[in-house]
Amino acid sequence: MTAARAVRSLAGEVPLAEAADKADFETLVREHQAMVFSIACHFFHNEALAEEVAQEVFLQLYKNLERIESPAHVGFWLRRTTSHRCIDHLRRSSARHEVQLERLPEIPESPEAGDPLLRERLRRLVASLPEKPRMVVLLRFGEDLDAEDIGRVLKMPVRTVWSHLYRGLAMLREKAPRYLKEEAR
Amino acid sequence: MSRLEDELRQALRRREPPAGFAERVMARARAREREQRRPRWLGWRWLAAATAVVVVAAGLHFMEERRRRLEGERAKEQVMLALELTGAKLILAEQRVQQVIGFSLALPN
Amino acid sequence: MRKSGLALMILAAVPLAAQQIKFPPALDKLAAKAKETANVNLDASTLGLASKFMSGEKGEESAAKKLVGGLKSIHVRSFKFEKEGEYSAADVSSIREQLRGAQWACIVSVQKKDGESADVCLYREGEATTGLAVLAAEPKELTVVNIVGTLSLEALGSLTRQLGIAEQLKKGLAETKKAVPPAEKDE
Repeated sequence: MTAARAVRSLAGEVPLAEAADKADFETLVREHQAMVFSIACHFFHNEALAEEVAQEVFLQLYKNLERIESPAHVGFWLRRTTSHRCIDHLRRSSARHEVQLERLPEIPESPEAGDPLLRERLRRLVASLPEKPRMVVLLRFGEDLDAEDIGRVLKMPVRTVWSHLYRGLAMLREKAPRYLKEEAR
Repeated sequence: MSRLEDELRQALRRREPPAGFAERVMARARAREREQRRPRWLGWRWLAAATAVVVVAAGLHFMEERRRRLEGERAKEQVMLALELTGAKLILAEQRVQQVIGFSLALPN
Repeated sequence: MRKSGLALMILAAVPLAAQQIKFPPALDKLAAKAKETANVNLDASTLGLASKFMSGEKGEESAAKKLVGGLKSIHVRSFKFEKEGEYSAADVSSIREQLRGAQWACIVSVQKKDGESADVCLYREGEATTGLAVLAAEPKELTVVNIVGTLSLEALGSLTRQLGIAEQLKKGLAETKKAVPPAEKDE
C-alpha cells in the first residue's frame, strides 16, 4: 500500500511535500536498499562507491516517481537503473580501480571448502570481470534472475546474456581451485 | 548445479548497506527539494541565503565523508590483496615442502 | 600499482625496524621487465584506517581484521614475467642475507635445482613472533612479503590452512628449524 502511495505521489493525487509521501518514499528506500546496494557493492567490490551509486539511484527514483507504473515496477526500475549506472560509472571512471583478472593470485587448491577468504576471493574475481559478464553473473547468481529477466534489465538479447554468462563463468573457472570446477554432483 | 555456482550464490548474496543509509538518502532528497523550492521573493532573500549555506555545508560534509570512506575502502582493498598474496605464497611454500617430503619418502634405503 | 620513486625515498629515510626487510634497488628494477607488478606498502596508520572499514562480523573481513590488529606494516613486492629467466638469484641475495640474521628463524626453506625456491621465516623476540617474511621464487613469478608486528597465529591460520605450516606457525618455533635441508635436489 505504501509503495502505491509513493507511486501516486507525483501524479498529482498527493503532493510530494507531504510528510506522508516522504514516509512512503523512505519505506521504498528501506524495502529495496539491500538489492540496490548489493548490486553496486558486488559490481565495484567497494562499499563506499557502492553507497554513492546506490544513493544516486534512489535520488533518481525520487525525481522519476511519476514514471513508476506499479509497486512491482519499482523493483525492475531500480535493478535496471542500478545496473546501467554501475556500468556507466565504470566506463566514465578515469581511475579504474579494478584489479585485472590476470593479476589476481590463483586460488590455491584446498580440500577445505569453508575457507573464510574463499568467498571474498570469489567476490574479487567477479569484480574483476569485464563489465557486461560481471553484471550478468551478478544478476544471475546474486539476484537469481533468469536469462530473459537479465535481458530485459540490461536491454540485451537473451543469446547475448548467455554468451556473457558462459564467458564470465569460464573466466572464473580458470582462476578457481579444482574442487570448485567440479561439474554436477 | 556446479560447486562454483553454489559458491557464487553464497558469495554474491544480498547485503545491507551501512547503517543510516536510508537516512542519508532522505537527507539528500530533502536538501534537493529545498533547493528546488528556494523562494523567489526579494523579501525572502535571507531565507534563501541561509538555506544555500546549509545545503553547501551539508554538501561539503558529505564530500569529506565520501573522501574519507573512499580512502578507507582503498586501504582495505590493499590489505586484502596483500593478505591474499601472502596466503597464496604460504600455501605454495607448503606445497613445495610436500613435494620434497613425498620424494624423500619414495627414496629406497 | 606502480611505486613512486618518492615513496621509496621516504621509506628509506625512516629507520627500519629490525623485522623490516630492506628491499634492494635491484628488486624494484624488475618492475620494468614484469608484465604485472603488485607493490603494496602499508604502514600502521593505513592499516588502522583499513581496519576501521573491515567488518568485525562477517567471516572474511573479520579474519583479516583480527590479523591486522597487531601489525605495524605490510610490504609486498610481486612480479609476474612473460617468460622464464627474467630475474636471477642475485636479485634477491641481499634479502636472503637479511633472513640469515640471528633472530630470523626460517621454518621453511626449499630450493629446487632449477632455481625455484620458497622460504618462510619468522622474526623472534623472545617467545613472541614479531615479523614474517615470505620469499617465493617461481619460474615466471617472484614474490616477497614482509609483515612486521605482533602476529596472531590463529588469525594466520585461515591463510595457511595446510597442516604442516599451520602447526609450525602455531607453535611459534623457538629455534631455527628447516623443514628440509636447503638445495634439496629435485629430479
